Amino acid sequence: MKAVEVVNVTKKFGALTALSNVNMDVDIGEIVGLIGPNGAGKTTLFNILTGFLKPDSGTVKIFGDDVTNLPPHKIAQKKVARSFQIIKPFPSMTVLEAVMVGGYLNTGDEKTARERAVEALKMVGVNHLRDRLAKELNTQQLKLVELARCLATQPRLLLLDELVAGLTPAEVDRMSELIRKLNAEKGITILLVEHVMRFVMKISNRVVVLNYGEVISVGTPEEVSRDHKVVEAYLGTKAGA
Amino acid sequence: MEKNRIFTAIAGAAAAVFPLILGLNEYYVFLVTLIMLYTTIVVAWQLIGGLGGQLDLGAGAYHGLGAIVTGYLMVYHGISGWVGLFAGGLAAAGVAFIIGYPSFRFGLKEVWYALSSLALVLILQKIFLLWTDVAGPLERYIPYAAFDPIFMRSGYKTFYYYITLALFAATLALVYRIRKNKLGLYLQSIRDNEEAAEMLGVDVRKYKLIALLVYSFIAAMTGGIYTSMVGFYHPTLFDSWISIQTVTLSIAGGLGSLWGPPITSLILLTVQEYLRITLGAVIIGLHQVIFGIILIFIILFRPEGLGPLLDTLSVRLGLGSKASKEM
Repeated sequence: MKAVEVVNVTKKFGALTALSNVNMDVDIGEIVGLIGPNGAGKTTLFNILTGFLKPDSGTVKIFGDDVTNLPPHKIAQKKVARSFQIIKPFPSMTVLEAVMVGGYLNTGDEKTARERAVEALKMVGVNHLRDRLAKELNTQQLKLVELARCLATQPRLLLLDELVAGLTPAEVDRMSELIRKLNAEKGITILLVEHVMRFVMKISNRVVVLNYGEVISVGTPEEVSRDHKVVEAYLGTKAGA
Repeated sequence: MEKNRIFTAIAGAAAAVFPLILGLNEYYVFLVTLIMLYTTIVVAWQLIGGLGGQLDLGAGAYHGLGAIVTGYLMVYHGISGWVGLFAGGLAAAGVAFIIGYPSFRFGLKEVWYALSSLALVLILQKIFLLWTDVAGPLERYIPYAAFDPIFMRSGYKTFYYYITLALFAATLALVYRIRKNKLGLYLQSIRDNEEAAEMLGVDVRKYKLIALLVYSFIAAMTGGIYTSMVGFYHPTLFDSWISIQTVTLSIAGGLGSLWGPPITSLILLTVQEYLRITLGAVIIGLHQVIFGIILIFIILFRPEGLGPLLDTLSVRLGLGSKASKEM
């Protein structure tokens, strides 16, 4: 069984083909980076994986279950959590309350939800912010709270959409440590969309490269960065070629 | 917590003897009961609007439906108003489900949801104007009884005062409890960001619908009490003013605040009634103009409503506390 299996997924928006016959998978326990130039279809693929979009054809399996036609909240119940490219905080709630929303997954018990939330806040290192309102926090803090919110649902698979965009290099390093820790200690499988190459190449076991909605390369970070198709996708072909 | 209990006890005791303070004056007791009835709707609306963030303008429809069902059962079938209150509540929740399910299914939000819920008020009014077997254009009078508690009919307004007080207190307690549990937190997450809530496993449609059903049930009960108190029913009880008043008072009171909406509603409705009595006959409609001006000032100078102010005050006094401080 694999954590994620994407089979022949195609998604069109009118005349634009956002994803064309995409096949990829993620093994349980892996950290996989999903990269590609702007408009390659990375976020579209995330939206299909999490039920916000339905593919025109093809199937998506998560931990062996077909989730192609499930809505996001049902996919969340399969122990999948996701952070968003543009952060989506709960501005009027305290940090603890926001994270407790995640903690209430599959339980109605306040104490359990609170314990899960506090544990997640501690793991991410923002427990000291728990009585603050989301609207009082800066971007890095909001991203950490969003990650804590994901962790409070106790996921087995974590989808991170440009988690480190906009962070300083020091903050990026802290984040990669944290992601590694979650993967190693909690056994959480991680699929991340990222533009910050230093970050992706450092922490991914494998990298999948999308360009114009097609998978053009799959392999270890070293293999992928040597693949001429990837270099072309990012930098263009030689002049005149 | 101890202070909380003392405060509740004092407020409860004051409310319990209030009709005596008014010297059992039928007119004043009637006005106070009305104010409390409308405030009950405001409190119930916090579920769908304040916490859930849905700008629901259907209050007049649910209130009216409760009034007509309760009144109809009393007039034509001699069925007690107590039964009517629950029958009306169920009818309103049923209509709310028919409207709410497709609205939430197809993601009808914001002004579109607001307008469709407001349309419900007008549609129901027309239906019952034409449906002469049940209502029609003539007022239908409930048989008079000086005091018949089993039939829920009384000439003494104090009787209705206590029924309303019970419903008001129960609604406050219910909303207070929901705010602190899973349903309340889920509703707030829907209000703050639907997509993020969904990704955390919140069944957005289901929770919106639960909030809508509970609120519509309570709004219908206020209609049932109202109709028995005034002794008649008529399709004009489907009143869009009730919808607008509910939302306006909630906004002035502070969306999502605990004490803001009920206290603001009690104060402003009292002011409105006072203005109506003193000025309403001087220049027709003057009281509404002044009431409107007061609302404009609140929204201009306190766009977040009076709620944060009142909630801070209650924390200062040691009443109520932020959920997170308890651990």
